[in-house]
Amino acid sequence: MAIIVNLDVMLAKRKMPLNELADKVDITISNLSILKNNKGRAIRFSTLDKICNVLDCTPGDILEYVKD
Amino acid sequence: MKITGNKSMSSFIKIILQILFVLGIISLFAIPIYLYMITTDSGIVLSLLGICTFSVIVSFFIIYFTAIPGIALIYQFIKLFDALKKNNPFVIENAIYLNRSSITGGIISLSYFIVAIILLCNSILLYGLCTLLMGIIFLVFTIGTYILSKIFKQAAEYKEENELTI
Repeated sequence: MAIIVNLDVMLAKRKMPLNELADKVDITISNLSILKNNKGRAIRFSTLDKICNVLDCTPGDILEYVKD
Repeated sequence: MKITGNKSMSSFIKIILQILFVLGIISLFAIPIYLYMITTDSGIVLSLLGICTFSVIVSFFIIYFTAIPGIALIYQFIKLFDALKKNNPFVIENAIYLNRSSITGGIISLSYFIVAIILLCNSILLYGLCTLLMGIIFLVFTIGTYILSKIFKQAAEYKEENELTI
């Protein structure tokens, strides 16, 4: 897929484990893993808003477009 | 009464289908043995050949062999109702089972139409019309299950997409 999720990069930058992020954004770890491993089909604006709020970043820091 | 899950309508129908499946297989093997026994015992074969024309015998064989897709059809429905019993109706496998059911239904329908044509061409009107009616019923079944398979496939895709939306 052309959209890459760089959630692991942001988590490493913020030195935050996945389970802590899951607790703070109120999403299950399995769902966050799907997102982190680029297996997700779509992301809700509300989820993106929560993740950006917790990680103190913009959607552009998490999502990246790579031309095929 | 519950529709899906344990001790539901689906599990009850699954048991009935399993009984039908076993009875179907027994009948498939028992009919030729039974016919062989009665024809060799009393020489009925000669009188049968006297009464029955070649086209009727051909029709009998075609109808007999529709039991094979019929049993396959029941088997697909057993699998389908098993998925319903597990409370998991909208999966891609169910769409595949329904698609296979429509194919077997189509084979049965085509066979009945061939038999109806043979019987009607030989002026056996009553049996010919009954067979034609059966052919139409199976044709409607085939179209219905084909449409349902496409709906199930679409539903399974929507469900998967929904599950993968975070």
